[in-house]
Amino acid sequence: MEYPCPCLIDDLVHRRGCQGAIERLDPASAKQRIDSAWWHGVPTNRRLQPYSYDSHWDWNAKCVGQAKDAMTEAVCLTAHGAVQGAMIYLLNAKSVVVPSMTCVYISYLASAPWNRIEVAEHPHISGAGRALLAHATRHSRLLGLQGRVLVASIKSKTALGFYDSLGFLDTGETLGEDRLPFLELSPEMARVLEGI
Amino acid sequence: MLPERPTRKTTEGVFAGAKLPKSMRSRVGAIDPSGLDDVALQITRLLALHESLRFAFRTQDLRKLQMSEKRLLLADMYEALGITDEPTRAR
Repeated sequence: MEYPCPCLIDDLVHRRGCQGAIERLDPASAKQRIDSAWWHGVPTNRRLQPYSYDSHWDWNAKCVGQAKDAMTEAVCLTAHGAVQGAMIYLLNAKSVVVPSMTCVYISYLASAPWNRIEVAEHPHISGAGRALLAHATRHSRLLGLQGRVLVASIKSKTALGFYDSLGFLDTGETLGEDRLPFLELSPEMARVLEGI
Repeated sequence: MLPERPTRKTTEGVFAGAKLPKSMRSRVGAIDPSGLDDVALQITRLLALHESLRFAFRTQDLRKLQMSEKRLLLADMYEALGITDEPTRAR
């Protein structure tokens, strides 16, 4: 996989004149650039809100686990010298729509708190989640998985609306006790997302 | 002072946060990613995901191949699998 990924970082690079890049995320940089940076300075009361429920996530620990598994990848979107969003994904998930096929599964995906309307009054950038997803679809294609991507979405109108706007389809299946809906992106919609 | 009451329940900026059970992962052989560069890792992953794919290496250890050899091998694998890295259209 080529880094930085030349695929869609359009909202950042083309529309906002911001130089963004997708980089592999290793445990050390996850600790330094996410765990120690993302929630630093955010008041505790804001961290307790539903929109901040990932504030306890330990990206360093997640990346340590990823580093031992060749079929897992961790990447981040950098811009303005900071990590603007991060994602961990599996490369050997079973498709829900076509069970005989393998696809990419998005385990963790979040943008930096300062890009969230409800955390920061003036978000720095938008489109981090979209750019990271486009990277995942490209990786899926380059592994012969046709761009197919699966996710168990957070149960919120914002997240569901986000996936719906990108063409993810509700498979009708759910994950775990929380019954998180499995959404899947078809190869055709993956090409649209990447701008092919 | 009481914490602010959320005006609406959303998770703005958080889109996924759930592990996938092993039963929902395709079985692939154990792969040690340590010491593999990006190209070698991509080759290894392709071999793991496409069991029918067979390539004769000069050596079984990808770490011993030159980068130019690995790039050629990867290009051959892409061709065999019909994978093309299409550029994004101009915006």
